[in-house]
Amino acid sequence: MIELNKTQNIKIKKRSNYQNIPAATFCTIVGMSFGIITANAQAASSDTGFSGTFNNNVEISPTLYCFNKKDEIENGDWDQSAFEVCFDLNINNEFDNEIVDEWVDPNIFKSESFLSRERNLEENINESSFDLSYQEYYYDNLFKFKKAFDEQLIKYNHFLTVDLEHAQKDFYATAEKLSSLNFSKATAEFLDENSIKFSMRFSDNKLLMVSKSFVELPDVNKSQIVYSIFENKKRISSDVLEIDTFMENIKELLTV
Amino acid sequence: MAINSSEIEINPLSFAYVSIWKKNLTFIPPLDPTFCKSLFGSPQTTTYGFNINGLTIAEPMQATMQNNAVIVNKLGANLVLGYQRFSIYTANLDSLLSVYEKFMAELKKNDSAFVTNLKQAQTGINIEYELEFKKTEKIIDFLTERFSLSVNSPSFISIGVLDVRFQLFEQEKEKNITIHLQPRANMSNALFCSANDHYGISPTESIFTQSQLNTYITRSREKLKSQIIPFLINKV
Repeated sequence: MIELNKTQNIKIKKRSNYQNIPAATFCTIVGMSFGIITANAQAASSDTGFSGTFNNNVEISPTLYCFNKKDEIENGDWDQSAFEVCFDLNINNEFDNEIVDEWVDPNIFKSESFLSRERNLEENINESSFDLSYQEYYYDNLFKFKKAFDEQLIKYNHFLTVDLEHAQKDFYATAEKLSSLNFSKATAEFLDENSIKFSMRFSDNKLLMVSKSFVELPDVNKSQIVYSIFENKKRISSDVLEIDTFMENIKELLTV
Repeated sequence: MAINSSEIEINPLSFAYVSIWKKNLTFIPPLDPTFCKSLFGSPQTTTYGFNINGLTIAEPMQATMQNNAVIVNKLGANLVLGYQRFSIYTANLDSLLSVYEKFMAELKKNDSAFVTNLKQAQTGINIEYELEFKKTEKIIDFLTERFSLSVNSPSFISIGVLDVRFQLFEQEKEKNITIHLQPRANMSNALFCSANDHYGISPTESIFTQSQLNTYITRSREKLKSQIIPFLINKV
């Protein structure tokens, strides 16, 4: 059952520019707009907001549009510039500050209503609803690494003494970063004990190898990797670095 | 303006299931690109990839321009397996259930431990409806009257409601439903209504099975019909 019988204090926040409207008028509008819950609004605040008491456990945030010409309303050609009032009501109870945040991206619901349609007019019709901002090759790269990792798990799982979840977490933390590099071929293979080596071949005959241990080593800590870059089979750079530092410098290293 | 529930035709426009993880995921295994492309049955147009939210598979929206308005001809389905949440959205219930089952089976085949470890903290069943008021000519008049709006300033001769959003808290702990109403585009006697049926504490810790998902969607639709619509037309 829906509960609609609690008395709640509700704060109303102003959002728009309607300073010219006297507080009493505004509260009357607000009060009447909540007739469904027998509003008992009392003007009590300055120009930063109003507060009122309502006798229901209901939160409403309507947008009101007031019109200055009757024919505009009838023709549907509404003049929204007359003024616009938007406000939120926050209920001071156990639900206060609760963020109800499981709604899917509202931008996908275009053109379903009058307001959505109006908003659409300002947007690019071809604009994608989703931002697939990572480079196109990122997904394929990560998938290549993942496939190689799964194959290694089947063949050489005895190399792992750490638990699988731990190894997976470290593998993905490194693989996700390396996948942002635009290589042409790649693989990943387990080294003899609790470590994995990523090998990536680039179109200009450069080969990058990155080793990552799943456990702390005497000379390499958990956040570091060991890398080597080869060009035409000659090593041009090799070092132990923090993975983030390595990623910051790698593009430069690859173009040397 | 007396309106009976029987005068309102309820047409669902879209269905979505959203789950917020108990603990953020540390990684998301990529699925076979061929599977991603064919998830919604439209491999030519479906896009997939990673972004800051996680793995996203989406169909494009199909829209055309008519009389200076953008009209959506086909809603694009989408699925996001994110680090913080999972969501799936389709235009009809059958495809929601079949796509969901297909996706979960592939995920399980890919990494069954990953699926076992998915724990949901909050859940939402989000359904969009078109509510057609058979005997009402102007829905804007209904909204204005229902929400008792009027203007007492000489500067304004009338007022209309274009957007109403309210939240109804239920007896069950941290359970509520958010209703968002707007006049429907191109239909003077219909409302666009989105209902966000929110479970602040998820009914199950494990991600829903297809059958559970169907049950909670059915409950949400029943609630709209038996409780929300009567509330909306003041017939509680």
